[in-house]
Amino acid sequence: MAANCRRVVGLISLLLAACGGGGGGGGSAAPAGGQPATTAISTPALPANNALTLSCPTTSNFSLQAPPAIASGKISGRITYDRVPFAAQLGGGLDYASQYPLPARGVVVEAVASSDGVSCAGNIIKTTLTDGDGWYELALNNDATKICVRVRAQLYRAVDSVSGATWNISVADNTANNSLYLLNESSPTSAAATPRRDLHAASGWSNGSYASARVAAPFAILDTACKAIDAVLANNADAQFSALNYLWSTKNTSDSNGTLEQGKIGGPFFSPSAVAIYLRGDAAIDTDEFDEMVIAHEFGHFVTHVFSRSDSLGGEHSLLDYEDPRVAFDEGWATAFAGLVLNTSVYRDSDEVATVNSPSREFYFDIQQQFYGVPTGWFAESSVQRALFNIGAGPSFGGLNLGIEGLLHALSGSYKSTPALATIFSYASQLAGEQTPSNANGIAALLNGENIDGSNIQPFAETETHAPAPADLPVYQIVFAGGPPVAVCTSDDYGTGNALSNRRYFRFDATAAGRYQFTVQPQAGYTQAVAGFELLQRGNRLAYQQGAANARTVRYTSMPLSIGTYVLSAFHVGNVVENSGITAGLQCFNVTVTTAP
Amino acid sequence: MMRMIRWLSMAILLVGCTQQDNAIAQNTKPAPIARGSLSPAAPVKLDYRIAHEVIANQQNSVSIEIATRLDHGSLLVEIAKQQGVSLLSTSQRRFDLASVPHPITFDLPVLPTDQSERFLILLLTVDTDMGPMSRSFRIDFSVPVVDDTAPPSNHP
Repeated sequence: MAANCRRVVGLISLLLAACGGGGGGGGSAAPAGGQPATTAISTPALPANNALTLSCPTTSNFSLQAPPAIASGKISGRITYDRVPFAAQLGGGLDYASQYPLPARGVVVEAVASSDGVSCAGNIIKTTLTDGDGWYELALNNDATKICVRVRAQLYRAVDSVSGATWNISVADNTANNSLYLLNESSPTSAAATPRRDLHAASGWSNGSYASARVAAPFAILDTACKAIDAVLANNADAQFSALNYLWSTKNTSDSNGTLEQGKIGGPFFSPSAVAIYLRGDAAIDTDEFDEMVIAHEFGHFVTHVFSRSDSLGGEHSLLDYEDPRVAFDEGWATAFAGLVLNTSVYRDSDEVATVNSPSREFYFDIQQQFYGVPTGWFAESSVQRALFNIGAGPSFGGLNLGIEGLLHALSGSYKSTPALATIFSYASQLAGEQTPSNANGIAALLNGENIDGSNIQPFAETETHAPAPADLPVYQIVFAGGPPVAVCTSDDYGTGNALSNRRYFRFDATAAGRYQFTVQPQAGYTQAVAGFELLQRGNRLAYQQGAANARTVRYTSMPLSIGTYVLSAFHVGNVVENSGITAGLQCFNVTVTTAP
Repeated sequence: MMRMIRWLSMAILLVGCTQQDNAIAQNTKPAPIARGSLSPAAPVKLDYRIAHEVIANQQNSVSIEIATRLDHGSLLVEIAKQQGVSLLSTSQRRFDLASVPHPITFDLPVLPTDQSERFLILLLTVDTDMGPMSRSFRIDFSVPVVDDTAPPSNHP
């Protein structure tokens, strides 16, 4: 096997292909607000073995006899890439000296018929997918046509009569018009002349530095995505993933002063608007392509986006933060998902920078470990990820063994449509309700261990008693139409933007259909308070209001609302809106709801 | 304690503040746009601004602003790598997070060369209850080079 890996045929290079158009998937211009443009990666032709590819294949589940027999009219071979592992010692970062080849699984392989017999430009005449061991076979109509084998950095499956499952995961370059990465032969030969063609995506690492094109990177990213796809398919064999683009470039760096097109991405992140995951590739400071936990964490956000819902505010966060409960849940879920997909409790994110004083070449932590002084509770992603990991993990981790399937199952169904916000409360309530009494008790115990009241946990957190300060409770207040004003204070005690108590939440039950007027008014004495307001229905924003220094009260008259439960979010603009010019701080408001004509 | 200080500052502000507050903002503003969900990182963030246009061999300055929610322990700032830029000050600074004003700001005097790729990489390490945590940031000077030591061009 290893010998075959190294039998690289011809000169292989990483090429960029403009992949616009095709299948009606044209790109769109960047919308206002600096968000990235939507991607325009083309859909491949239906792979010949689409029906055989019911999952992202694993080595124990390959569909071809390996190696495929050499036969007339066929080109076959194996696609591999270099995996750079982490050092055995935590803090050691990537161990480039120990890199090794792995099969590129489930990727799209194309036979391109050379139009001039010299170059690799031409029409795609056959398409297939590699199996779990990287093998592929392209059945051609004749032996004489000069062919180039081209591997797209793309995992793909189309819905067919065998399975409803579908996915389309690509790796593209955001600094080159979101063009798809390819592993390509550079000159064509006929099937008769060269029936076996193994292509290897090399890391480019040589003698202590990157010396040539980093062809392995896109395929390493896809290999982690492949594991995540399989984890989701274990819960739902007919899972329909939407298209997802990993956007990676050697220019993508830890600098956000600039545009995404320049590679100034700041750090790895999932963009729900673009349905894209940005990853770093700057070898001078930080690369992400071999950081499986980072790649899978961001995929976890994609999973909630596609199969469930995320109410997260996004932004910067850490395990030491007191966060808005929506952020804490979404981030904790994503890290637990990554750990369960990769069967490890250790989160490792390599970097390329170290000094005598700070010798570690990675950011790492153990998901299961609790640290004195690090926040625990419904507002702490460290608590959420630890609880969810321990609920899903098997006996070797001391977990409840619900598996990732158990966690994923609770994401769908009624949880998706809960009127409460997507927090540990609504999720754990759904999860516990789906389990046997024994497992439900186990879930409650794990939550109790995180200072989250796990027994009889409710979506609107009515039973919650823990918080860093009494003023941070209740998680939701209740406001009635025509009722008295409800007093609430928002603060920047834990930071601004996405921190705990920047926003305060209200449950509002519309008992009659009609229009309502919502008012958030600074309390007497709070002369610097500037009100903000959101109306949410099942996590979706129906309305947003933001006051200003000369209009500090906000009032919103709704369109007709149907009978049901809604969530209001009230906040001080200075605590929530970046660069608003409004000073952050403790500010108090009265919230009222009235019926409107 | 923090809240008490805040209450006192509020009281001080009340004395001199007569801001109009009867205007009401109604159904006007769009919601701010969030970028997305970042991966977990050390609890420290760096922003920077380069003082003026980057010109080769002409002294420049970078305004650094470091934000962290930590209020105890120390922050170590180190220049971990530099290329095409000479640093004109110390390459290492340490701050006591309990006493330094937040956000932490300082200026970094630099001398860019005429290389096409010019950058500094700052490594920020904070003491946390989980042990030291580091995060690195790139400061990019790689804009089109204008060398004021070069002879003037004859081309218009």
